[in-house]
Amino acid sequence: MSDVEPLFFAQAALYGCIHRSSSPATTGAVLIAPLFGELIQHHRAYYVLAEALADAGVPVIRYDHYGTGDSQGDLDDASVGRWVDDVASACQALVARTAVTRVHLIGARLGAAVAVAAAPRIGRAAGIVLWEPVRDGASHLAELLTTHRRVLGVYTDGNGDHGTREVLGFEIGPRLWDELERFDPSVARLSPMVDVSVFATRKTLAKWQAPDGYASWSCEEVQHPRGWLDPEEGMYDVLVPAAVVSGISKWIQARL
Amino acid sequence: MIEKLQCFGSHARLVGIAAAGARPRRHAAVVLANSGVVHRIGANRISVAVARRLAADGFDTLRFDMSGLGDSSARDDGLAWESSAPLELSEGVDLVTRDYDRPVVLYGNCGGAAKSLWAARRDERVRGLVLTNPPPHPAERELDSSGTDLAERALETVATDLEVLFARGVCAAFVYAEGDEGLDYYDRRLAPRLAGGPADARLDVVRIARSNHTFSPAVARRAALEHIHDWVVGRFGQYDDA
Repeated sequence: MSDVEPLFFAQAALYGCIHRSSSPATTGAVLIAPLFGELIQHHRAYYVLAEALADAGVPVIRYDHYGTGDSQGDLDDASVGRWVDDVASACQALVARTAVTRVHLIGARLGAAVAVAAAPRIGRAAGIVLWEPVRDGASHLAELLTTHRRVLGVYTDGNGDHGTREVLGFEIGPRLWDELERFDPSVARLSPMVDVSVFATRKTLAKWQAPDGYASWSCEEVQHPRGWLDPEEGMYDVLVPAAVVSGISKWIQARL
Repeated sequence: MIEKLQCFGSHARLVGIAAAGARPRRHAAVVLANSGVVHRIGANRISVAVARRLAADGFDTLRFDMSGLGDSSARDDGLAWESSAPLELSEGVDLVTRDYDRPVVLYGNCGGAAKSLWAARRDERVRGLVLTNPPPHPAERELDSSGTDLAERALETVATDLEVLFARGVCAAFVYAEGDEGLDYYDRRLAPRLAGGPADARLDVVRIARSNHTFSPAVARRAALEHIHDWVVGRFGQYDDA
């Protein structure tokens, strides 16, 4: 079991945990969480993944985006731009507290899109893992809304006061909603020097092709446990997809 | 609002966040339990909202992950969760009463409600319970092979537990989503059993309209939050210097 250090960073605005490796290491990982209910579903899986990586000699930071989880603020004052900045803050926090000089970014769902947007700004990025990635904000919102209407439509149509929309227990104001709808990070902007791996179901993999000229691009088909990304009564089951966690850990270890 | 990290626990590294109550500070503190296996922020982040709302109104709060959940490690002694949960909640109570004796309110949703009830039975520092959607006893639908109604015995256990607590001076609020199976159990079984006893003065029951089990609709969640806040203030709102 690794040494886990909870911390506040970025002027105490962000909450996270650093999982230290037993020996000093120069390659680390930044775990970028999904958003909304999917953040809650992935939380323990991220803990287990961080433990596996730290045990394998890779220090890790995982954290809550601004306005989510235990970080300060709420969705009213959050923004996609802030979430992209948070990746750099998390990277700096890891570098400042360990011997890490290069990092792999690991993002699931909308966190994967945030990782793609942030990667060009992180000079230390050596690799990116995209776990069941969301391609863009608009398609993600459409998917969440469809699910919301299916499981919570009997209680609420999703339209709140002052242009606020509800998706599965989270209220999103018009400013953030518009920003998410326009959020469309392009993998074509990634440096071909950065290794990329997509861990996803067959259906999702079909939407993820390597950009032209991109050599270090791999895909691994995965299967998730029953109930994964399929909330009942508006609540996702908290599960740990052990095979996916193991696969991502091995991919990182192969690049140390 | 000032929030501080807390790492504590004798058999696991329990991770939590303590929020210092705003001035003027209230005398009581509130400890929030995990809902089922959801980490300490709660479904729809409701535990963060509850903790911060109460802290903004003067209550010290502590939300933390029990062993094997969220950011907390597994226990080193292999104790089952039914036994470890009340012990770990008491360790949370230790933390908020470390500097001085004070009444403590436990908040728990669903499985967290059950854990909070068990903790209150063994820890006399607990003076209040806010239980949202406390579930029916698991034996409610079962009969044993000899035909004895296990559900009756289970009901008696729950009712007796509550009456012992009420006799000790504990106050409780049950906050139910309309249509929740826990509310059906309360109306059909528990309320008739408790009627005419100390529950009449010490138990308040709130029903939240048009809601699911986790208060996912925003209107319902806000209503639950306000009821919880108002109940804690109404029952435990004494200021530190009063």
